[in-house]
Amino acid sequence: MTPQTSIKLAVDTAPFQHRFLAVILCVFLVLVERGLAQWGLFFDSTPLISFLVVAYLGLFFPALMPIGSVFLIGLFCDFLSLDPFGMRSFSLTVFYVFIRWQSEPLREEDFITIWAQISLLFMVLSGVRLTIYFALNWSFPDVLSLSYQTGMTILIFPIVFVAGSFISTLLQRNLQT
Amino acid sequence: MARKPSGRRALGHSRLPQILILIFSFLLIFVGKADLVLLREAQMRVNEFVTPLQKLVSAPIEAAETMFEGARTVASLRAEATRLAAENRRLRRWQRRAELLESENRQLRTVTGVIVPQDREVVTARAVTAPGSSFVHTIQVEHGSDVPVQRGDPVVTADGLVGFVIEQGLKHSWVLLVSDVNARIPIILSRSSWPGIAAGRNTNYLQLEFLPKEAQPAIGELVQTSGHGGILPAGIAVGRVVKADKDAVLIEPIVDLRRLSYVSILLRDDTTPAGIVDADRFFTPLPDVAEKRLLEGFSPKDVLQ
Repeated sequence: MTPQTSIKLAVDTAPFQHRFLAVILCVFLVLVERGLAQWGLFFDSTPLISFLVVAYLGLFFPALMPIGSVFLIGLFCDFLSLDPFGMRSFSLTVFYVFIRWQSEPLREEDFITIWAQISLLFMVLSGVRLTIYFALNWSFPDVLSLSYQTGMTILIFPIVFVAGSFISTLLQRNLQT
Repeated sequence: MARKPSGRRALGHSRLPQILILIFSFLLIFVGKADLVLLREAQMRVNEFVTPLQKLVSAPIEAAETMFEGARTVASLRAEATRLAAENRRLRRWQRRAELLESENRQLRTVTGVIVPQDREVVTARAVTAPGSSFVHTIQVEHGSDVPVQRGDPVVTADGLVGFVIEQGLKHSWVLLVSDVNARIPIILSRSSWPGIAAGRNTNYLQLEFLPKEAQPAIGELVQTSGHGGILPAGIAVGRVVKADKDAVLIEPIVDLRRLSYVSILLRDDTTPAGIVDADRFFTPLPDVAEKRLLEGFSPKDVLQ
């Protein structure tokens, strides 16, 4: 199911327009995340879709998502919310770096392994965020809602994966023609 | 576009910027902790800029939420309707039950105020039949077994006399209503104490017979049992005078005989057979003073004559 074998978009240096579009996509998804917070279901624990998209792009299309873009997306999130400033950009950057480190072996794995690895990484990242928050404020946030957010994000990953594969396949066909 | 063969190599190429950005992003946390006014101001500006976009993006999400909520509401409405229907059925059963109990309560209240003579015991019975015919005014009452009902036992409600038992069974007895043509009730007028006999006519009214000529019954005057004959105790209300002229004196039964549900049977003591007059209880010895009345309507002079 992994699209790594047929995808030609993952290049060292993608055109600026492509990278810009990728950032715009992530910014849009950040806004969607904020919009989802209006649902009672996700009131204080929206699934972090932007993390998943960054993970997918970092895994299969690293040229579209350089670390600078990731940092800017995180910074944008930091500016939008009143969460501890820098937390989102730092966690997103760390997440991306770890994804990049694991990208080569992960690409050869099947979907379940990728999902498990990313889930594990995301849980560790939630722990890191919790630790940073505790270090800064000497108090814990609502661990339950943080766990809920982590769980929801992990559950949504297959949707992002399938959608990303579908879009990349579609784009590849268009480029070939 | 050529795909990069190795992610690790790619990372190696950009390791320094990655490390720098990581460090910078980590330092940002402390910058944020410093709570700089400039930073807050920048945050506000970015939010002001993004808010319209956010509204744009949130609109379809809100619509989806509304749709989702609508679907959930419809689902919950169905469940709520089912629950309410079940509750409604239960409440209707309770309502019917309450109405029955209310009716029974109202009916039972008609016998709770019965004045029971000292030598009688009271048993509540349920009227199970009504006359149903103009030929005979009797009802059947259910009093249960092991109740020593005897012929002649008066049947009353809190209002007054209904009739008396004419046939007794193990669980049921027949009661002759005061309105029956065969009923003859010894009575006295409550104000003037003139005695007489209230005779049923199989109508809604009783006719007062054997009333002394001197008697002048007043309209609305209460008529009560006299106790003469020893069958019925004295002092039970029978009816009120509704017509009093030369031809006839009519009494309207004080009990609405058409709406009998529960009645009280005044049981006699077994040692006192019906029809045996206990002179000590029902008659007063002749007084020394000639003018003083003995029984209701009778003076010693009348008795002697």
